[in-house]
Parts: sequence; C-alpha cells; structure tokens
Amino acid sequence: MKETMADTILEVENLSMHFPVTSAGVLRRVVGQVKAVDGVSFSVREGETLSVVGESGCGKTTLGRCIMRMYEPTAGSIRYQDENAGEMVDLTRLDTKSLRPYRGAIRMIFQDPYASLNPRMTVEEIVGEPLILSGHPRDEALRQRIGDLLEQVGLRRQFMARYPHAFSGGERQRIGIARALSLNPRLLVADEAVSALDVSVQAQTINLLRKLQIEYKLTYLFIAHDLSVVEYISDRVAVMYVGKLVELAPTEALFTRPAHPYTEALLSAVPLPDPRLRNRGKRILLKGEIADPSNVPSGCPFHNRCPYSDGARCVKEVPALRDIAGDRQVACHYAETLPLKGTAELTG
Amino acid sequence: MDETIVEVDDLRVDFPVMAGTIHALQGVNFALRRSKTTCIVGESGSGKSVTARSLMQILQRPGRIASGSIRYRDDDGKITDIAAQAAGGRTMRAIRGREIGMVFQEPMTSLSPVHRIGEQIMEPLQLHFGLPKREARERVLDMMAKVGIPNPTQRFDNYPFQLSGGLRQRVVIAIALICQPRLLIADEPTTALDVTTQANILDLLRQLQDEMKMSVMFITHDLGVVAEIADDVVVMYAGSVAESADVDTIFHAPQHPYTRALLQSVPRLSADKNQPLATIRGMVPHPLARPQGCVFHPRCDRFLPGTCDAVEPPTVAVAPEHAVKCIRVGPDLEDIGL
Repeated sequence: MKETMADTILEVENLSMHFPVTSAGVLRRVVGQVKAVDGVSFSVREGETLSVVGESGCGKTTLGRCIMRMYEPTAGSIRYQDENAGEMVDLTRLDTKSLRPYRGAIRMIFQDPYASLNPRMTVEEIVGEPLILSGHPRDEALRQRIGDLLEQVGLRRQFMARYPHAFSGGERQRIGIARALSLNPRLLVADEAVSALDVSVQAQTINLLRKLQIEYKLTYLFIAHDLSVVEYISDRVAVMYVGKLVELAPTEALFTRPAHPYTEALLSAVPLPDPRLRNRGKRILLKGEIADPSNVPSGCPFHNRCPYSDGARCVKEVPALRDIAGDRQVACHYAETLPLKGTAELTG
Repeated sequence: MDETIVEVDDLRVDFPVMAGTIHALQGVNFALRRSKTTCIVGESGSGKSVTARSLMQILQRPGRIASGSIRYRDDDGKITDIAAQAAGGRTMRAIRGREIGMVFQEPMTSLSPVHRIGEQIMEPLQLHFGLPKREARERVLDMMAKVGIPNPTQRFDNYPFQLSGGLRQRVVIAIALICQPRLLIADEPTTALDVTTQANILDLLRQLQDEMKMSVMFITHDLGVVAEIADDVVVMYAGSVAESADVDTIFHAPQHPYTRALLQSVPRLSADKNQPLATIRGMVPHPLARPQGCVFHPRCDRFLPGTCDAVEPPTVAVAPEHAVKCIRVGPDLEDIGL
C-alpha cells in the first residue's frame, strides 16, 4: 500500500505510542493504555511541507515527539533516508549513540517561545549549543556562524550577547528557528510553531519559514491546528483523530474535496474572516466530545460523532487507511460515496 | 436608534510598576448597544483584557482607573458610573455577576477545583437572590441543560477535573448566565478550545443571547471569530482604540492603516499561496516605551513624517458610528492624493 518513492525522506510505518495507565498506590499495576498514536503510517517527501492537523488529544504532538525520539515508540518504525548511506535507517532501532549523527538532520521548533529558551543562557549560547555539542571548537568561526544564523532569521548579530527576556515572542521564535538551523538539518519538525504568536508576527514567521525552506531545501513536518495557516503553507495535509490517521491528501484536494467526514467537520468549523459569509453554507456541529484515547470507540473511532454513520459497519469494523484516487489516503468505509463539502462550498 | 447599555468615555488605566507607570489604556471610547455583540479585537498588549476587567472593576494589582467614565444604564434607565465605584463597594457587588456576567479564557483556572460544579453555578443565585436551596437547584439544572451539559442531574455533583475543556467552558458560561445578566463580558472564551468545540460554544452563545436579549462584549484576537459573531467591532492597538464601526465596515471598508494591515496578515482559506503573507513590520511597542505621536506610526505604511510622530491623532468620526484614530483619514487623505 505504501510507495517507496525515490524522494522519500522519512517513512513512518505502523507507529504506535501507547502510554500505560497505572493504578494508584504502590503496586502501580497497569490498568489500561492511552493510545496516543495508534498504527500511523505515512511518508514525508523531500522538500515538501507536510502538515499534521487535528484537535487536542489527537496525538499529533506525540507523533512529532516520537519522530524526534523524545519518546520510545511502542511499535512500528521510523525510517530516515540517510543522504550518505543512501539507504533507509530505522531510527527506532538505534541507541542514543548511533542516533547522534541523525540528531542534527532532524530538528525541532517548539510551540512556546517563552518556555523553550533557557532564560539563563545568552542567545549566543542558545544558538551555539548544538554546534558545540556536535564538536565545533569554541573559536571565532563559531561566533561568525552564530551571527550568520541570526541574520538568516532576521535578527541582528549584535543581539548575540543578550538574554531571551530582552526579546518579544516573535523574536524568540526566530531564535528557536536559528537554533534548529544550526546543524544544517534536512527535516524540521515544527510543533505549533506559530500558534502562540499574534497575527502580524505570525505572518512574519510564516514568511520566514517559507524563505528558509527554499534557501536550504528544507522539509517541514508542520504540526498545527489552525487550518488557515496549514492551507497556506502545506503541500500535503494529514488529519488525525484519536491517535489514528484518518485522511492524507494534497492540500488543495483536501480543502476542496475532503474525503473523510471528520475533515469536512473541521473545515466547516473554521471561522471565516468575512462577515458576509456568516450565513452561507450550513455549519456542521459535531455532537459530543473528542473520544477518550484510553477508551476508543469500537469500529471507526469517529462513528459516534459522524453525521454519516450507518450504525452497523461503522460501529463494528475499523476502517483501514486505504489509497484512493489522486495521491490520497483515507480511512472511511464510504469515502467514495459521501457528498462531502469543501471550503469552496463553505465560502460560497 | 438602539439603546446604549454601556458608554465608555476617555477611560485611562495605569499600572504603576517599579520601572515606571504603564499606561495600559490611554483614553478608550466605545459604546455597547442593547442585545448586540461587540467584539474587542487586538493583539497581545493592546489593552483588551484590561478594558474588560475595568468594566467589572476587577483590575489586577497594581492597576487602577486613572480617569474617564464607564456609564452603565440599568433596566430602569438609571445610570451608574462604574469607574467611580469602589471595587469592593456595595454597588459593584450588586452589579457584578447580577447585571454583568463574565466568562474568562481559561476554564481550568476560573473554576474552583474543590467545589462541585452544581454548587459553583448555584453560588451567584444564592448571593444575589437568596433563593432557597431547592429552588436554586432547579434553576441550576435548567441552566445546565440550556448550555448543553448532558445529564445535568448526574453532572451536578461532578468536580471540574471530571469534565473536558469544552464542558468546563460551558460550566463557566452557566455561572455567568445564571442570574440572567443584561451584559455578558467574554474574554477570549474559545481561545483555549478546539475549532469544533469553538463552533459549538459560539453557536450556544448566539442562541442564548437571542433568548435572553443580552448584550455581549466579546474579546478575541481571532478575526474569524469576529466576522462570525460581531455586530460592532472595536479594534484596539497599544492601549487605545484605533477604529470602531459595525462589522461589515471593519471588514470591507476599514479606514485605519492598522485595521487594514491586520486584515491582510490573516492567512485565508483559498488565498493565493504564491504570494507571501502581508506583514506589519516591527512589533507591538513595549508598554513602557510607546512611541510619540500616533502609537502605530513606526509600523504604519502611511506614516507622514513630522505629523504622525509628533501629535497624537484625534479620533475622527468618518461616518456616524464609525470612528477612526488616524490623522490621515477622510478629506485629508484626498488632499494628499492617496
């Protein structure tokens, strides 16, 4: 079902991250599993921006952290296309030491620019730390490199001696980006990298990320919940619901013709910045709440909220993620027959 | 003409801190109309939350209202200047929660973790009306059903930690609405929620507003939400009102350069993706180092040297109910040839 294309940079297969739920008391018996990520497969192509969207608790952050090997996945593989070796390396099988060379190639940009920078380190130390850890000597060339990195992200090199508190949220996010770029990565995992920023600053940061992508041929795995931002920056979009991938498609196709009812509901819930569109198109109001990942409904995890559920097959049989026409995948029994609306119908 | 329920006039709020005095609000003017929704929109540090808290007299220390008035008109037409009331005084305590209800951003922190949700919703009823417990309980169960909390009788005895974020926010809304206030102040009530939950909560607020004929002051930074629910919009920037008008004017005929720039920097669905997003250069000024003249001039694309950086622009009424705080609007614009 998956194609191993020549330009695939990362291939995630059947990835699961189950957190044990333990009982209170000294015994700490395992009484259940939170299936934060459950059997997720997809591949990231070199140079693209693949966005992972979904609501809180859907597992998108856990997915990103598994790829960074901040978590030890329960099952599955994460294969990275090594530039030099020319073959796929399964990152989940490497120990800390053999993982090191890949730590520079896959970097992360964090959500909260206030929490992700050490307040006691200067910008020079923050941005230079990955370089020093990877064996760069502490010399003039290091300072030069740090200065260049700062200029790359639109900060002045004179700012090097300052501490994070002297910067605004947008500037701090730029420092985080400079740090992520320091080891010439190929893949950047951006977890809600622009969510905490004000609109005007968010636009600056998005433009910066796009500029850097072109300059350095970067690949982005962009984890986000804001669909207007996602539509703007991504080539392909993956939609997650309670730990599972429910749809993966090229951005335009996903927004104009969603194939999964959950994608349709998400699209219809986005408030459009135009009061004249207020009453166009019927908003889909989902009943109930997002399912509990420790107690996932039987069959399709979305069936109890889905307006199109047939009450039989949807309740019993888990829909597999399958290929459909147009380079897309969907996990819904009725993807081909449902009359789902995209943003075109919603925006009139 | 619609009846005005609150009129804020030249409101100034100061926060004396170690490093100096932060002028959080520098002369804010706007009015709230009866049964209408007014959105206050702005970026962080614009003073939108301070405005909301001033209306309830719950400014955080060391903040204080320095001057200006907040005239609240009650059902009998009696006008009370909230700005002149003592925060802990009898008048404010009678208004707060009874006449004006408030919903905060964080449903997690605005609920007491050690009280059952039913009791928390009941508290204002007992406080303001002294209802007997049984009767109050009935009203609470009704309200819980109204705000869409399933199985009110069972949920009554739940603690906040047993509820999801969306349900918690419904509890906070129930607390704010239980006394049937005439004005609801909602400070970013959906920001911490997911889009599908947000859609449900916005729908709920709209429906309750229709039912209860209540005015709503809704604070948000999300222009999508504004377009969705507002009748009137107040755009704030660095402690003052940049522009205020009805929602259609703000989105389709904005006059202030900041409003225009803000609207352009929002990524829109189905926009041209090859164009970089329009940005506003620089950033929101530090509250202790606000620029001279117009606070927006260093970031403005219609900046006029010698004018914009020298004098604070007056607020011009370019049309009835459309006020713009910019020197370069109206006839002046045509003179310059823009």
